[in-house]
Amino acid sequence: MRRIAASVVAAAASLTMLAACSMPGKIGGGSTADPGKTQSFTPAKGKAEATLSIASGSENKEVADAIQKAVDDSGVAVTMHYMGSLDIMSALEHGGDDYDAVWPASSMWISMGDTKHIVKDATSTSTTPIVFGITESKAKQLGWANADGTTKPVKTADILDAVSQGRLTFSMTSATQSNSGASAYLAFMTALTGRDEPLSAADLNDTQLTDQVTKLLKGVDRSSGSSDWLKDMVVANPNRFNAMVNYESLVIQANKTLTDEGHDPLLVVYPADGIAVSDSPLGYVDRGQNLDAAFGKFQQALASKDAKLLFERAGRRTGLGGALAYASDGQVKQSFRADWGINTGADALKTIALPSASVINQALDVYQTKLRKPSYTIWVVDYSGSMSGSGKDGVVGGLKAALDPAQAKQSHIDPADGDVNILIPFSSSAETPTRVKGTSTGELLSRAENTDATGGTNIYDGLLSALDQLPEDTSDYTTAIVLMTDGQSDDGDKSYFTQEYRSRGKDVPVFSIMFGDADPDQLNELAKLSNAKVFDGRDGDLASVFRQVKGFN
Amino acid sequence: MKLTKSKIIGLIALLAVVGVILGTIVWRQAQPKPVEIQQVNGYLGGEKIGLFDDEQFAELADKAGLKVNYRKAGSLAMMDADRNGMDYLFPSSRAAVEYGKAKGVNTSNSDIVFNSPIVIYTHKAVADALVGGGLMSKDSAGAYHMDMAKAVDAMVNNKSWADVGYQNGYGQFRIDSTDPVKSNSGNEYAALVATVLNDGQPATTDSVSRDADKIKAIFAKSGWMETSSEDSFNQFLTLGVGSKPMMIGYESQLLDLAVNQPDAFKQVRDDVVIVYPTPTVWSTHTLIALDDKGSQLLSLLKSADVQKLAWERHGFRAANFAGTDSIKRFKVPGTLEQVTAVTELPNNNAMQAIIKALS
Repeated sequence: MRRIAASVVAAAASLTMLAACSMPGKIGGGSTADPGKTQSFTPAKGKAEATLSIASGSENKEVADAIQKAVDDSGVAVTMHYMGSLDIMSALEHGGDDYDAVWPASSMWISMGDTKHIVKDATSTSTTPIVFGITESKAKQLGWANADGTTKPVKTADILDAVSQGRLTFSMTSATQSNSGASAYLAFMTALTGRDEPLSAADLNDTQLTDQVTKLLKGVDRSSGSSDWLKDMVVANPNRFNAMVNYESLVIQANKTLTDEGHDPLLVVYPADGIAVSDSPLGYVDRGQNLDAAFGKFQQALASKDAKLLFERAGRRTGLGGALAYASDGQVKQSFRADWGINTGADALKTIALPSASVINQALDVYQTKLRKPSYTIWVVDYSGSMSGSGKDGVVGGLKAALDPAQAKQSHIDPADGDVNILIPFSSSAETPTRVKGTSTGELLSRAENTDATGGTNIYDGLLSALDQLPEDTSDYTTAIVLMTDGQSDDGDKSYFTQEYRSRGKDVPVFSIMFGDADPDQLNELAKLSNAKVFDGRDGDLASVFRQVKGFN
Repeated sequence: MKLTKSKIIGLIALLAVVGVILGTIVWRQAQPKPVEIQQVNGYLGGEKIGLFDDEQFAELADKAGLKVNYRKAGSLAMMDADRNGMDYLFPSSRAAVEYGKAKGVNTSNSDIVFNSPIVIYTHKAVADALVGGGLMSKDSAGAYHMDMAKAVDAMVNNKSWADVGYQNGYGQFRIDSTDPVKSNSGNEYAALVATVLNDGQPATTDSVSRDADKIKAIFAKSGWMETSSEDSFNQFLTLGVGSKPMMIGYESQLLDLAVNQPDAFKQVRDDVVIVYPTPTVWSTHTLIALDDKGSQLLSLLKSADVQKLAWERHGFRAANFAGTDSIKRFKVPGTLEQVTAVTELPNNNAMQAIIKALS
């Protein structure tokens, strides 16, 4: 039975890959192991008059029904390329790459990225606030929820207290990779100033304030580069997580799955003294490709009453002023449930005034280099014979992109003082680890460069060695093991590793980067075991994949 | 062969059809050859996109042999943007034109196309609270006015929303605008603030250098500033009172919404309030033609048909500061037929000084 399910997944995934391959342009498409990266929509009837390639935040996976409806009504096909907000911003800075439209979670990324004035007709499609979704038992224990599931307004300082006392941990996306993390981080800091004013550059130098933010971020027990994946991760292991910071709409999606599977829902808590709202704008990218008419049709169809109703059923708000437009619809009611803590009154949303663009940039820099929880990353890298040549070059380039301070800075993944990075090369067995601390990553990078690729592939021995390298208290860090391999592994040590992984109870994610002839089944199994994710490096741009993986911790 | 009556009718009908077809061909050939449509490209201030995207405008353009393309850019930002392949620039003020001229843009072929007063958009709860607090007044016809001298004074003295009468407001009283260094509405607001600080006389380089810190402090209250008036207005509508309690915009924006998005307007009609600052400044939408195609676009925009369309469907007043008929046509509460409390914009040197102070 399991085998059948697996082959169905593989078949579906390879279809996605075919779809991705047939697309014009260079975009690293979907794949067997990472089908969540692109998604194609074609009209139900007739041939599409055009296809729009859209760079989109991952949270829009959840409004697929509305997108499909707009595609059907407009006759315009759409391919969604899911990525982080910062990637969308940099795509705009490069002139739009190959995209016809952008659809980030917040207008802020368009305004900051559109230095070439190529974005046209950007309009909000829907709104959703960034909130805490807290397990029902935890919320009640903290005194933040009533017996009927409704929640009380909670101040950011109270959240900080609960974190400092060790009573609350939460998962949140990286502020430098994803809009929900960035927005929440800016809202926390703004609220903690107590001033009800936008953050200033001076605030970022106020150590009393930044210490408070550091303490709050210590509560982050898992990070991610993607809001949608963060939600999937919490849903996949409901007993493991107290809470997540995410879009209200994704808490709603999570709750639908959780309650279907007989678990308790997450209750939505709105920070009472400062909240950020995603306005999800869709805008045309004018590269002279003459798809503006098709874009206009799609955008108009997406703003139709029918499409808006589908947005609201998926948990987004479409009324003006952050309100619901179709509050009386039965399915909308099933999404915005008061017993999930959801409050659709406009007074629940105390929106922060965003800081200026330059302060946002500085704040993200301070987050990455000073305030976030330090990361602890163990790179388990394949040096089997098949990696010799271009494979090894790719890996060394990828490690540099992620760990060389100057290169990493460009993607806002720079290493910071408290970070630990460990390289474990392996082939038929694991080699001795090289461990570096802070920003001095040179020793690790030269080891990566000077290790010869020879021998067989035994990922499990490499991973066993990684388990021995884990910190005493993994909660001091955002911890992750990153496995990079290009071949099918001997599986003699597999059951021993699985047993060890479980018995040590560290619960650390094993992210894999798939390359060459790596076996998706083996890697997916690891992802499932550790509630992690497989990244596809087979399209050749390993550097971008390494950067992406680093964005997950 | 005997022709029956029905066959005769059939034959006549057939001949008639053939005749029509032949006639059409002849008539078609007699028509003048359709004008070759020329593409016109340029930079456009975001608040005029509604007009440029209007199908009726496209039809009028088509008759004039033009297909009008645009790229959205702030009025000031477009003066620094790459003008390669561009036929026109369409900023929203004379000040932007002067700024462009100083940056080396050839502005010799330019003319005023529309006017729209700078207004403040807010929500009813805020407006009524501020009337109570004395910064604003409501006239007998129901229009709201903001006493800019009092408002600027309150901002200079860091008054909170509660201090000025709005108890539900968070933090300091502020009026949000677009980025004054990049976009016109924010820029004109800065000019207005600088003028008010100069006791109502158009700001000068001297007064700006004296008041620079105050002007900077007023803009620092806003934090994030959009670079386009259109985006700013959309966010004002989308995100609600908590996000932007008050913002600077053009009168035309709400009039345009009322005509073109009646459903959306219905949702906000009882909440969103248009406030005329006393004094205000005119946003003078001026087209700079960079070449012959740009000149053709300028003639098109000045034509009676486009002027009428721009007023009736998008709320732009003509070069003479009036609409082509009464503003009551929009059924937007609290609008003014004539805007009389208007101050002159500072001269270009003073405007440059303001931009420099805020850069």
